Parts: sequence; C-alpha cells; structure tokens
Amino acid sequence: MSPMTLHREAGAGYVQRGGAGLYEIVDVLLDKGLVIDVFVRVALVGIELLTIDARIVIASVDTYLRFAEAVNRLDLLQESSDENLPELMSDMTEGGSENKTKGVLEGAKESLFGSGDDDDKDKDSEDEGSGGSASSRRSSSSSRGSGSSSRSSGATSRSSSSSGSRSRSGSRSSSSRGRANS
Amino acid sequence: MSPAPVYVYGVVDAGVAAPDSCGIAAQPLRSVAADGIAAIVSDVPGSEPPLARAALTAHSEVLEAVLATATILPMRFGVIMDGDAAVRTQLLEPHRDELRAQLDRLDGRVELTLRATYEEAPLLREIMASEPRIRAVHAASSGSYIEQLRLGEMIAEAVEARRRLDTDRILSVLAPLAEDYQLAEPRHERMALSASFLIPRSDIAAFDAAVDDVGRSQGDRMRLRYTGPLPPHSFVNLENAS
Repeated sequence: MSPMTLHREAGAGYVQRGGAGLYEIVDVLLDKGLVIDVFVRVALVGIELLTIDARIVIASVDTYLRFAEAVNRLDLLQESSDENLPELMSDMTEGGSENKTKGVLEGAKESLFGSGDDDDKDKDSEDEGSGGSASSRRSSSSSRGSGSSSRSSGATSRSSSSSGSRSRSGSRSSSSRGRANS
Repeated sequence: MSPAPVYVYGVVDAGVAAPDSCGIAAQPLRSVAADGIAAIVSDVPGSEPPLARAALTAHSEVLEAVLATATILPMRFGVIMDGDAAVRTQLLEPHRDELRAQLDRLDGRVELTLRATYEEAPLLREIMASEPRIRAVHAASSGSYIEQLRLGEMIAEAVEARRRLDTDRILSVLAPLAEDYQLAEPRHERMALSASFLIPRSDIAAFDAAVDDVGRSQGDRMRLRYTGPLPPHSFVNLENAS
C-alpha cells in the first residue's frame, strides 16, 4: 500500500489510523471497477466464483441458530457475579466477534489468502479495539506470497466452532478461534 | 502466434505517465494510449493468468501509485487482454467517450469506504431490552432446536429492523457530504452498513470529521472500518459491459 491510503477505525469515541490491509479493500478490488466484456472476464472466473460463494443469506437457519446461541451466552454473562463481569465481557467481545458471527466472506478471504496471514492478524487486533499504536499497522506486502487456490471449502464451513460451549470461567479456548479452512 | 497478453490496471488521461515501478509478476508498467486516453498495463509472463494473492496486492499498489498524483479509472482485478492492440481496439477506442467523461467527472475525487458492524453483546442486549416478545420466547424456551430456530429468527428480524434504521441515520449524516454514494448488501449478519462514498480530495478532512462524529454517536454498539482514499472503484462503469 502506498503511504497515502489509510485505514481508519472509529468506535467508542476513538479513531485508529493505520495502513489499509488488503483485507480492507478486497471487496472493491474483486467486485468493483471497469470490466469490458465476457471475453475478457474469463480471466476472472475463479475470483468471481469466490465472491458469489461468499454472499451469505442473512435470513438463514445458520444465522438464526447463531443468534440464539449468542443470546444464551449473554445469559451466562448476566448471571455471573459482578466481580467476574468485566473479564467475561471482554472475553465475549473478543471471542464472540471473532468466531461466532464471523461472516462467510471472511472465511472465504482467509481461504483466498491462506489462514493466519498478516491481514487477518491485523484485523483481529483491530477488532479487539485495544487502542494500540496507530501508525505501525502497515505490513509489508512483500511477505504476502502465500497461495490462493484453496478456496473451495472455505465459504460454507465456518460454523464448526459455534457450538456454544464457551465456559463460564471465560477462558478463551483454542478451539474458539477455529478458522473456516483449518 | 497470438499477441502476448497484458494485464490492465486502469484508464488514465493520456498525459499521465505509467508509474516508474513494477506491477503483477514484477513486470514493468507502461501505458497504451489512444485518442487522448491511456491504459496502464504490464506484460503477463507465462501462460497461466497470475491471479494469486500477490497479484491482488500488486494491482492495488499500482492503482494507488497512480492515484497519488492523478485520476485513474480502476479496472476490476483480473482483467487480461490480448495484447496492446486489443487494449486499443476493445477498450480505449470503442469506449473512448464514456471513459473520457468519467475521467472528467471523477477528476480529483476519491472513494472512501465505510463498514459498520454491530458489536454482538451490546446489540443483543439492546434487542432483548426493547423486545418483550423476544424476551418471552427466550424465557419460555426449553432449548430445543425448533425453539432456538424461532428465537433466532425473531432476533434476526429485530437486527434487520435496526440495520435499516441505522443505515438511514448514518446516511443522513454522511450522504450530504458526498457527491455520490453506493450501498452494498451486508455481508454478514452483524453488518450494519457497507457503503462507498465519492469525495472530492479537498473535502476529505470534513468527511473524516463526520465519520468520527458517527463513531462517537454510536458508542460501543458499533465498530466502524473506514478506508481510503481509494481510486473510485464503485463509481466507474461501462454501459455496454455485461
């Protein structure tokens, strides 16, 4: 990324500024921009399939069950003692937003880019909203050479970790961070 | 022997030079001009279209390098054409008027994207607090599959109602500051808004401030991801493209 493109994040009254990861702009790169005709677009076939797969149906059984499970977790949170509450809250925010209702598109992107890559780490750390250094998030694009061809199973398999098994102690089990293509 | 394929990044005014750098597969960038407009291209080595992740990064970097000093109409990622002649006869010449018009219309403009995502716990608390019907269903639920499904469906409907309301609220603040905007469908169930705004460069600071205001007014119920300036991906098109 050139220095001029910033990724800015706002929420809870603060704004973080840092470099735009590829993750942030993959939608527009893949979906938007000039195309001229079917002949030329042949080159895009694999990519287009990916983005079509990635469009989830928001009114779906999967979505309903995730919401229901999330509300059940909310109960655990509210029933817990005041002393434990802050810890549980932060745990739920982190764990919940990472895996519970993570959209299919993220799963597909991870498949495209390989899991555990720079951008995904960027995203996770930003999701957690820790208010860290604002200017040091840009990662070197030269290190992003990982393969792109393993997308076929990623788009629909992300829900394996949504078993609602989060313990009341709030510890973040490693299984709660499962990725779509792992 | 067919012409060597070229990768096409975008269309610029013919007066804009290709960046003195490399594009996909480390191939040097050059420009192919016709009728006062030009395409930024690079050669495609080998027979396999290089559409891996590194290519996506390179595509983005080329566009940004041009955007730093000029206006570019970005091609969608992955457009490969059959040599320089095809770039002229299939892209630049037949579409000359609409490309010229868009270069003029988008001159000095950039795209800024905003995605708003609900935080799960605040969203669900909000819904449970304000929807007695859902609370009742939840309280009476034995946890059976059917009951969970019904509960989840009601919550999803409540989320959708909030999404519509919040989209209207956010757009009422930001849309008046933009020359144009495009809404995208939400990509997952907690996404409140996904929008691209067309902003003159001179107005970026004002738009930044407005996005900050939205972030403050939403507090911890929503997380905003705000990215740019980008080339105007969402505001270019060719009429007769399929």
